[in-house]
Amino acid sequence: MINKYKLILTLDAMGNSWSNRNATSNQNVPNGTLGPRPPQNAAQRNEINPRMLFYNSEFAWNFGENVFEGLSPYNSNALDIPPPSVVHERTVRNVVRLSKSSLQLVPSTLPKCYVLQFHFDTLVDCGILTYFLAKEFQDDHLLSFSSQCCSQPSIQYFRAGLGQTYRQGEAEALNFSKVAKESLVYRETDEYPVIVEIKCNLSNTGQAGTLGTELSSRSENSTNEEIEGYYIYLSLDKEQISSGTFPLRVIKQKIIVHGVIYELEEIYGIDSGNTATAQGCVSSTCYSEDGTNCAICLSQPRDTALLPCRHMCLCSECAQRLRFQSNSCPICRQSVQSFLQVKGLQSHKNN
Amino acid sequence: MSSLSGLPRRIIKETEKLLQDPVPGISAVPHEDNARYFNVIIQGPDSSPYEGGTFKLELFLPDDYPMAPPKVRFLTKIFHPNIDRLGRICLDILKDKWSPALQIRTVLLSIQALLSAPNPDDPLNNEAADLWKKDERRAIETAREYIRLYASE
Repeated sequence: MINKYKLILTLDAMGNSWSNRNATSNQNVPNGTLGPRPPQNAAQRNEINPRMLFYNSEFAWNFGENVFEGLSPYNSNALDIPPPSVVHERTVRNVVRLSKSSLQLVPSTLPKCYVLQFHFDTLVDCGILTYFLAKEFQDDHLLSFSSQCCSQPSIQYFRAGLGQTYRQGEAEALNFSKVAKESLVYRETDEYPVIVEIKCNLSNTGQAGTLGTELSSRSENSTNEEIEGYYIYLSLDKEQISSGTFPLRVIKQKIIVHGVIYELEEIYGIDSGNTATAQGCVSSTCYSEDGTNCAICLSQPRDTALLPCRHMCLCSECAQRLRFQSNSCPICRQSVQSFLQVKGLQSHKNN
Repeated sequence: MSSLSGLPRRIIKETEKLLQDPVPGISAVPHEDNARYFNVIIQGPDSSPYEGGTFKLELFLPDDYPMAPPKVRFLTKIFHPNIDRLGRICLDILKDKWSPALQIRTVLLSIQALLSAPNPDDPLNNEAADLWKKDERRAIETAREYIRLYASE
């Protein structure tokens, strides 16, 4: 059961500069813990690839005894390039799962007022807050949000348990006669229409309150590689404004593990041929035609994603061949910096 | 298909799919003696200058396919700005834009689309391209004349 909630963590975000810069420090990290913190300075962060985490959209992914390997591509034409390195990836346990399709604004008791509601599972006691029309601030290794239109939201606490429902407090309801619905459509600015913050590590926040005693017993058992905070950035779809229902779409997700902030990135094509999530992918038909099989041999199941484009389109055998023969992703032609092989994916699909 | 045994699974799969579930207006049949050689027939697309034409092509899958693109050539004479006298085709996915995720099926669909949308700005047959730019009506007439002479069944 617990194995079902895992994320892949790619330790050195695959950018060459990043790998080189951290090559020595990574080796000093004992197995089973996370790598060094990324630079905190925003300017520094921009010049290297951001650290990324990869996940499949529904999180129901049973890896069992898994090892992740990131392989660097090897171009046979350029013999001065050092031989490909193998990077073993580690996993982070995800403790909260949100049902993406249940995220919506529902009418509150007051006329023209709406509150956020969604269903979720959690393996730990957690606290949830919702911000409307908020900007994000990052200091040290914490994310904070400030809303332009609403006061600081209050936190709701939930115990560990499956099939729970979060419903925002009535006092925080968004009044559509004061705030235009259009403003809830994300416009690529630094202001996000809706942000959900889930605090998964309540013992650190000092807000645990009555849950405190139980939390201390939990933390003895838990590893350090658990999610401490989970942030979901949401937007209303433009097409939905005129309709009466307001489902919300996920724009991005961030998590905090071990005091480090990571942005979650989806691997395209990881869900048995379901590519509805592969937005903007020109040749998504390449997937659907042959289901879950490798785009090159059309016979073996896909288990290798290409980075940075995140197309999971190859089996490990063809990935090995591609490394020596080509430098670009078969789906989008973007140049490949490394391969991420996900072992254990197959056993899950067979189940 | 006697040489089927040494054939990569991918080519067998593609061939099966092409025979079971052919693309409308396109037929591709592997040669009896060489499963890497296909006899292809493409019908000229409706409401294009090539409507009503039946075009024969040959398609060959080289040893390093799918890492390298298939070799395709028109056998039927055709008046088209991007197809030369020898039947060679000017199409990016057959050259530098090839990707191993593309297949025989997608290549032939692209060629069918090229018949619907001749591109005189990237010519391979200069005579056809010049006429297309100068007098498109006469160019289309010429294309139809070629069909009457060479591409009618």
